[in-house]
Amino acid sequence: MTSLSQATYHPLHIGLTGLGGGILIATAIGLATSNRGPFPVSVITVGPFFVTSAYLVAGWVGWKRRPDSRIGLMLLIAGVLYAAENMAPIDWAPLFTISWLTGNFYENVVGHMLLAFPSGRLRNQGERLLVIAFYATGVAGSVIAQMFENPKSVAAILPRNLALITSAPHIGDAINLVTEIAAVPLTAAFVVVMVHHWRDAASTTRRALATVYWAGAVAGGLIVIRNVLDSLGTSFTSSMTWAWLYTVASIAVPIFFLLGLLRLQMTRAALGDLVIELGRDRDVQESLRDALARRLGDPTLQLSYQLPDGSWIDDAGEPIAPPHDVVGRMVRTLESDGARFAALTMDERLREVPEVVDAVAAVAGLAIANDRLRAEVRLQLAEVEASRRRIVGAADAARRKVERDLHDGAQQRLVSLALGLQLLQDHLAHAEDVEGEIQTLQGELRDALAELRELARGLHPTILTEEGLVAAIESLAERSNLPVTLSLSDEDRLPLTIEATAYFVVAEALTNVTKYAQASKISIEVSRNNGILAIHVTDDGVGGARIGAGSGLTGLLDRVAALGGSLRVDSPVEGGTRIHAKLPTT
Amino acid sequence: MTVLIVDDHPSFRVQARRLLEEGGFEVIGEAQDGATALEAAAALEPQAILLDIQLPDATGFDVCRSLTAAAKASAVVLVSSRGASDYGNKIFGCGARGFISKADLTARRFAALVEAEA
Repeated sequence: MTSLSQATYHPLHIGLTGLGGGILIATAIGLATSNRGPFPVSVITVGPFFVTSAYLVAGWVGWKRRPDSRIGLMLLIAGVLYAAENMAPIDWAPLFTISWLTGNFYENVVGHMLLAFPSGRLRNQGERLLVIAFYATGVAGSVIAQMFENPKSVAAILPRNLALITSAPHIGDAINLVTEIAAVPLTAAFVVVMVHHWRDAASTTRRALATVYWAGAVAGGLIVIRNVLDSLGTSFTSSMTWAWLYTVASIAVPIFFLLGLLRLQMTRAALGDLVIELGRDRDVQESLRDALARRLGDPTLQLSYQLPDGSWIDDAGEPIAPPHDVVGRMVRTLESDGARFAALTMDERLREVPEVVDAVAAVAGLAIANDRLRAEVRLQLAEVEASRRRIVGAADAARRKVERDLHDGAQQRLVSLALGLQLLQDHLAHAEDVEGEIQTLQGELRDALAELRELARGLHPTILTEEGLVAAIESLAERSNLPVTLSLSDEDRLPLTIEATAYFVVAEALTNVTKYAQASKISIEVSRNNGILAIHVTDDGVGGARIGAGSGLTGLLDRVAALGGSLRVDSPVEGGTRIHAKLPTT
Repeated sequence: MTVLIVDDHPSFRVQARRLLEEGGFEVIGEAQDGATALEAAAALEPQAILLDIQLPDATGFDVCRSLTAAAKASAVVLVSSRGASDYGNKIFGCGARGFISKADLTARRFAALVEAEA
């Protein structure tokens, strides 16, 4: 943010752009009002305007888009120098002199930019020396050489060279020769450094470098071709064709530099994709680390997490030493509310693209926070599911206990009573009235016992525990008042809770059919497939059943859901009722 | 006819003994769980056994299987305070002569089942 606000109005950039524009206007006026009459409009007179404009626009845009890089500023400087160089046709001696003194300085700036891309800063002392030497040949070739001779080709028709100390063309020739010889090792050194940069660059930077090296190839190619042609003594460099080639190629140079800067910019835009990608549910096969490594083009990237106790673990959960900067690696810590919770250890070369690292760190922070939340939610969900299962299990256990208590308590007493009455009846075989009375009592006792048994069975059917689901459902069907068609797959026993739930689904369905459906027949189907126990209870009754408050089906729905299953009631009016339940068997 | 009564509820054993004895049976022993039942049966060799299904240490079905495995086996009749439908097919797979719900136990019914062919 700070750098952007700095970028909005910076006197240096405005000044340089103004200067470049001013020179262009002055040159235009100079050309139009020349003593020798207006210059003809041709690529030679108009071309420099386009080239200068290309440098100024590229510089301005590049600096706006990449305020942290000095490349934009350098493009502006190169534009001003290019404009200055091309004031040469102007009649006024001081401007003419400045123009010739600036010589081909802009080429030196372009060379400087090649080595300093993308930050605009040279990386080490060696590079600085190389660039200084390069500028020195420029100064020697232009400034010093002009002190001893007039520019050859145009000397006859142009104003006086004010920098001329004494006309000593042999000195100028010697200086030119030296600079031309020096150009060979300098060019070689440039190539070496550029190759080095290429090899060292992170993949994000490499794409931008490729574009810029095209600019280098074009600019360098122009210089080499021009020098070769000049030394061969051909007149091609004075031809219109060359002027066209030179102009177009010169325009291409700043454009390539700008594209290079924008490619870095696009790397930043690609981070938007990363945000989207990481925001989505990542493929389980690809970890956050892999996604980050792929996006940053750094396969060595490491993601580590700091635990609340201060220790560190890696992506796989293994304990590791706290991450720290080592040669070739940089560490970026991720913080939330001032507390460090993770760190990215990556290729040191990514320092070249700080905003990319910033963005990745921000995105990674979000994704990690997101992952943590998700893990937390998953854990809580698992806890809730486990607790629901436990509740169902506990309820079943409680019902089994009540059933046992009924059986061992009240039922046994009633049994004793019944047997006692039986004995009494045997003893009083001849007393008619008493026997009748006892028989009545016995009948009532049997009814009480039967009801108690039914109650106990409703709490928890013994046959389910003893014999399993199929036998228990068969037993239910036997007791039903309606004809029941059964289709049961008899397989291994399932966990008690699942069997009990399935049993109660069938029991509740049968109860509902008997009570409300006015059906003539029922069919029960129980099957197991792929770890799912499916239960279908169908009747041909009046339909209209639904899961609602107070309905026994609601309780069943909860029970089934607690075990991770589903319950559906399909009951159109006058269309019978179908109850479908599915229960996972594991 | 000699009878062994196996049930973990003492009140039921007392009632059943009286019912059967008054019906002409000779109750020669009682047992309150499966292990004791097997020992008593081996020692006393009763002609019939009244066997509760729910014993503290085993199910009456398993005990019945052991009791009826011997060559000279006793006739076993199962009893329970639950109904026959609570046990499904198990009653008919363990070698017992039949099942009587406890509240319906009479000497006559017991005799009928004991005398029935296994």
